[in-house]
Amino acid sequence: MRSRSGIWRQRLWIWVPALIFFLANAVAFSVYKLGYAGQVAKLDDDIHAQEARHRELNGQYQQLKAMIARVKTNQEQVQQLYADRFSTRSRRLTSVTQEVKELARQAGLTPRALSYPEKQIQEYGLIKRSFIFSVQGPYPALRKLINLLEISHSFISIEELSVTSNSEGPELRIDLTLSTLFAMTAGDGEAALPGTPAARPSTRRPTAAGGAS
Amino acid sequence: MSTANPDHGDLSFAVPPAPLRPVSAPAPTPGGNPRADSLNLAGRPFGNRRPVVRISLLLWLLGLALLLSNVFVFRSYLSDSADKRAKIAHGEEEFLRQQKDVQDLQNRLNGYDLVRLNDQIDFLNTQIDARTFSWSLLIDRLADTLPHDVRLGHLTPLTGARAKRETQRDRRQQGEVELQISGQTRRDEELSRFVDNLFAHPSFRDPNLLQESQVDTGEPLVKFEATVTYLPGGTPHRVEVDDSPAGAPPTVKKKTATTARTTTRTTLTATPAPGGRP
Repeated sequence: MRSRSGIWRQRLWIWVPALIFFLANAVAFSVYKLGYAGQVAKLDDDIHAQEARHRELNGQYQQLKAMIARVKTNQEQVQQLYADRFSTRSRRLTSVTQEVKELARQAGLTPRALSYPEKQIQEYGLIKRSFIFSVQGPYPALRKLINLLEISHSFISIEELSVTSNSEGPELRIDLTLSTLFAMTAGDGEAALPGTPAARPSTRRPTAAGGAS
Repeated sequence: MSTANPDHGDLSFAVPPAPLRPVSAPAPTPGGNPRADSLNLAGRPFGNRRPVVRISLLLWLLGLALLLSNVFVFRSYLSDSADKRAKIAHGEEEFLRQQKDVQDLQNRLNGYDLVRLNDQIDFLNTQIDARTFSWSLLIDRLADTLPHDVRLGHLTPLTGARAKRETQRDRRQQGEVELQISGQTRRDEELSRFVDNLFAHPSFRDPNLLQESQVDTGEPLVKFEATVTYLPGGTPHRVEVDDSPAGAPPTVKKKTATTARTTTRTTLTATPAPGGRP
């Protein structure tokens, strides 16, 4: 009987090619795992990183888009407010004055003297016109006048209200300050409907920090 | 072979010695023979080749499996890496395109004067707040808090330009309005009751008596000034006026119904400037 090592020595042609074949494949596998598989993983990482950047950029894009849409909507609403509610001085001046007098009359109050101070709000292209007057009457009449002013279609605000009682009777002295707004026209020294960049170009721009000066 | 028999007197023949026979080997010692292997005299000595063959077969099989795995892995690597590289290249293109779009939008947004627009909208919102402020409701609520002997002379809500801008903006978000009140009473305790009532009323908050002064009119009279935070909301009493004959003062009826407000309230939303304008 031969020794074990002798058998392996004598039968080299049987097991050596098998071992070489196995080792060659094992080495190839190792090379892939250590070298190329890492490259694939890196590519995967790159793709994930790219997707994250895409998501971030997409969010930024959507945010900017929404902001521009809001700016447009706001501009439209501002223009609508200027055109429909404020209108121009030449269109509304007499009608709003008449309306104030008419509402006072409906409430049973007669303003004896009215003053109409005006103030230009250049920054926003508006003219603020006030109606300052005093009336004398009972409390219910005052309440009715307030109610009529509140339900009026016109843009008339009650700014100030002062009531002085008359010790001799039920009548009150009421000092009222009302106000309305007119949109400026070119004749007033301002574009009719400000609020658009084209209407009034400005050098002020929002910075990245976005701070309002 | 014959032998001489001494009893019979025969000649005896010398018996030749028997040839040497092979002697069987002595029984093996318990420790075995260390030279047994070298004594294998077979023409083709037996060698156990099975482990060699089996191991070789196993190596071939493992090598084959690895080869298949390598082929599969390498092919998938080639296709995957090509796909991924193409995807990355496409993604980079897409990213650049999207970046350009964002830049375009940013430029468009920069084209608007957002700061001015926001200021304008803030201003307009304060004007709309002033316009839609319900004096009727305020008067109703104040009437609930007024003791019998207290009369109000002056009432000014701080809306619009009168209110401090930032304060107004913060308060407007909560729907609160600062009120300035001045009035008079003949009894000091009634004034305290009025302030207590303001504290107790859900529509008012933080009443603050700013000053009070005795007025010398022959009878006791206290004039006062106060501020209070008002929380608008809810429905005012409806004021209905009967048609009265000419000359007679109109009669007012109070009803707990909604006042028909025909003014459309347009609340504009300020657009935040990029970067977080306050």
